[in-house]
Amino acid sequence: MNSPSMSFQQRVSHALADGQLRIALDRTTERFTSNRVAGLASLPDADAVRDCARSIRLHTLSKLDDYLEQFEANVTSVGGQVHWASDAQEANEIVLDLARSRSVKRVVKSKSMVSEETELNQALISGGLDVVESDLGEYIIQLAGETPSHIIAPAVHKTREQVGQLLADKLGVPMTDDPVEMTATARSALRDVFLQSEMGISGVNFGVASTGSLAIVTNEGNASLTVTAPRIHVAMMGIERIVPTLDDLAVMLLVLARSATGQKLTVYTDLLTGPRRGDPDGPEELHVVLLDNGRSRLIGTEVSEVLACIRCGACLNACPVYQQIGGHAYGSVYSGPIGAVLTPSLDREGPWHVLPEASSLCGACREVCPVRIDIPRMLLALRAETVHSGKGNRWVRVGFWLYRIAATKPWLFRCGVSVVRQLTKMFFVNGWLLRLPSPLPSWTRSREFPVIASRTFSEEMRDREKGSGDE
Amino acid sequence: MNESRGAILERIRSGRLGAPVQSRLDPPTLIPTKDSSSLRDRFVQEAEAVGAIVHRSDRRDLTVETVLRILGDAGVKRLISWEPNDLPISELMKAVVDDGVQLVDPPTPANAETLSREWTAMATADAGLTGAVGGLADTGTIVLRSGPGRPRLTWLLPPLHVVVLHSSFVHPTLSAFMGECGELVRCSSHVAFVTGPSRTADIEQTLTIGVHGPKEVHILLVDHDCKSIEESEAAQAATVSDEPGDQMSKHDLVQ
Amino acid sequence: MSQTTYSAQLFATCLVDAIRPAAGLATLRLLERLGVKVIVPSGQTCCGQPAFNSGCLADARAMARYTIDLLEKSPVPIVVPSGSCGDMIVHRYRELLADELAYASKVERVAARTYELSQYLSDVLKVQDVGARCRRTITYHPSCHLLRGLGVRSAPSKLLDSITDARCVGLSGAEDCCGFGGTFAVKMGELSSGMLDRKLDAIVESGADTVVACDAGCLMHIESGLKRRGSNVAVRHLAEVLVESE
Ligand code: SF4
Repeated sequence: MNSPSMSFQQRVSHALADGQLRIALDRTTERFTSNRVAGLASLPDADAVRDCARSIRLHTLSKLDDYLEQFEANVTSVGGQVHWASDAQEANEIVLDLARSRSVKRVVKSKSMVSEETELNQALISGGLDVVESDLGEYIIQLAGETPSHIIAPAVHKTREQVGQLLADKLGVPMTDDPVEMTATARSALRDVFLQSEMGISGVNFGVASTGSLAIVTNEGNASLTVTAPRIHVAMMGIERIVPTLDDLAVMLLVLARSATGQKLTVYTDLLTGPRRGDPDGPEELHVVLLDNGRSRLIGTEVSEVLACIRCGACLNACPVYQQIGGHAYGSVYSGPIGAVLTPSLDREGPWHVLPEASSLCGACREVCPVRIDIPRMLLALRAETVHSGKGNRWVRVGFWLYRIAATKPWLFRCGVSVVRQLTKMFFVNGWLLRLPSPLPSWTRSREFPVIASRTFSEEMRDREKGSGDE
Repeated sequence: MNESRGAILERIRSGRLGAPVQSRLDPPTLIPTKDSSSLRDRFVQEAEAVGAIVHRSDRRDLTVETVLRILGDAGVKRLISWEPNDLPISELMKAVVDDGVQLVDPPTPANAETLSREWTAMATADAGLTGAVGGLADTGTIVLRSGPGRPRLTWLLPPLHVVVLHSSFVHPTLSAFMGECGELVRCSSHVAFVTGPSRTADIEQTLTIGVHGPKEVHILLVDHDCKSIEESEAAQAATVSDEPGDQMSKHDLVQ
Repeated sequence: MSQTTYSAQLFATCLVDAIRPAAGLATLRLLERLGVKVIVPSGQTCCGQPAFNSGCLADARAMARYTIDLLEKSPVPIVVPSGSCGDMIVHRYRELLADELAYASKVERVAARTYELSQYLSDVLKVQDVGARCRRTITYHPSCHLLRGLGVRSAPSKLLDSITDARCVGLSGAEDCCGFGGTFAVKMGELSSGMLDRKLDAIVESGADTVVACDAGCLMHIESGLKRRGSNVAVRHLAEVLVESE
């Protein structure tokens, strides 16, 4: 993952000042939320299904090595090929080598977060290939030269007016703000791309260990076309995206679409098991690239649960922080609550320790997650790791150390409270509040600073005891 | 195998060292009823809810007539169809051709070693005609399976998709389908679960129909006897008991 | 409930102690009025939540041990007028002190008898009407840790509904966080303010003259925001309105 050039705080300020972004997020978040609620409500026993889905994911992770080997054996037995990539660069090289050795010129892609993670497009383009994204949202941001801002709705940060303008500028079509017209434009622009590309690259929602099948879901049908018309299909998946059996897959699909868009099932749920077998279409070759890129190291750690994620995006839509700043401010491919855990976990050396701080720990993400991932717990674990490794803010560390000394000695605590009371009173009287040392001004920019009560609760209690003693 | 494979598996193994394998809970049974008429009603209701158009028929000739009417109403001139034997009603294709609709053939014979991948002719078709191997009642989904006489582009490229589904193939849920027909997945290179027409909400989460796939999906839910259905039921039963490899060759013989 | 005598210890929490003593006093008065014999353990300070949330685990552990030892002295239920501190004691102490065998059983005992105020009223005392009376138009902000941590969804609203002469009005986006989150509000000031602004807009829009919550942190945050806006919407802890009888 490339490090962003601005600091997180700068990106946040940027995002908060972006009126268009605010409009786009406001217009969509509500729709996402009500859809998801309705989607889960359509399950007769949603809680039991979620528990079951969670148990499937945790079970799989608890013997992931076995399932990966089984998956590989089955993909191979149906005529596919599995490639293992330790990191992003290796994954990209595998794909580029495949393309080169088969004289591929044109590549059509359907949405794949893993390929965003490895920045595959840049690698292919600098290798001289034509690469076109076929998911409408991805197509839009590819035209705009941007990156996705949401796991399942990559262009959610754009208003329809912005998209209309973009299509007009890039494709020379008349400007419109009607999503239906824009969609038609994209349909006709992408038609030939599907039919003329030699290689189709897709993501994978789940790999089924017992059959070697790849489950890929889309609403547009772009993945179906991507994996049908071109001669070569390359599927990119993280090593954690395995389910043991087709029965397990059926359970996961019960919650995936419902949590993502509120649909009971995505329009196209494609199960691909090997290349074509005498069929008049479908790929001649099927390659699966299994990407690690930091995942295997997480097994057995405090954040291993993050690998249970099925990338439904529900936690992004529920998150009040995401709603404020959108996806780009996170600075990495994975945004929102899940991104705040995943990004620093996968890339330990990167400048990401600030991301787990960007949460009020309100728990909305945990509440909506279809597999009940305890994101707040992992954010806390990452914060603790930051403090432990000495990367955190020293001010905070020293502050809490002092606070702890006081809080475990009641007399000292009382003294501390009265000292702070005197100080805040002074500041207030003299109006020095805004000149308090960093980081307090960030509080007072929009809020008053609370004053310590002139008589604290414990002082009241002491008096009360004295009073009753006097009686 | 490459070094990464070993390194990745090794890292996972050392990470899970000493940790127990976690158990899986049984999925709750979601639709207790197997009553077939309510299953069909539910299928129709859900399929319509996602924007598919369902036509029911209990007579073979009515089914043929309905398909002709759908194609006629849409002004279909060029059609991609599955092979007659892969459609639940084998005379359907002939009836369509007799009605003056031109058939667009896949560019290469089914059993060719390599495909020309010249899809441009197929892309000009106005409609695709297929037969489903299953229906899912609780989601209104049809299940399609690729194979030698069953090109996938048929249900993907044209703006209109007409699919015939025998009502005895309707399963309560995806789980039920996987339980009974999981072998179909094993022995087909592509099994598609299609729920309504293609759609997107990528622009401001505003629903738009017909992005890359069909804008219209017509499902003929048929109750009548059809010989080829029995055949394909037999083929399905055989599939379940056979090794995938064997089954494939058997299926090829059927063509 | 008249026959049984109830006893409880009140753990006021640091924020109530220093910033909002009125909430502590009101809780005390309310419980006593309902016939509960209340002990206020002296020497109580802070449950350690702020340190825990900031990743300063060693400091949080010290405060947790201190608080557990303090609350272990008496076997009676512990009432906390703050959802997040309640959640800390009920759920997070277990994780925090997982490696300290000496505390394992103590943690469980203390967690099992700790209640947030509205929880105690509805689950232990089983009251829904405390006989309060006030002329207010009230909107209720369910604070995150009470709602999603302790799972208390309806108890506070039911208690508010029972107040004579008061009118309760809905709050749009009620379950959205107010943006406090302890040190988050300071470290991520801009972000936190953005979240607060939405909450304040909703409060103003609701038409209420009083906003009620069960967590001193949210109350403090919302109040400082309203103050800056010059709004005259009153900010009250649940206990504060439940003891009113004007
Ligand atoms: S963490 Fe949960 S809610 Fe968020 S994307 Fe992953 S599965 Fe969905």
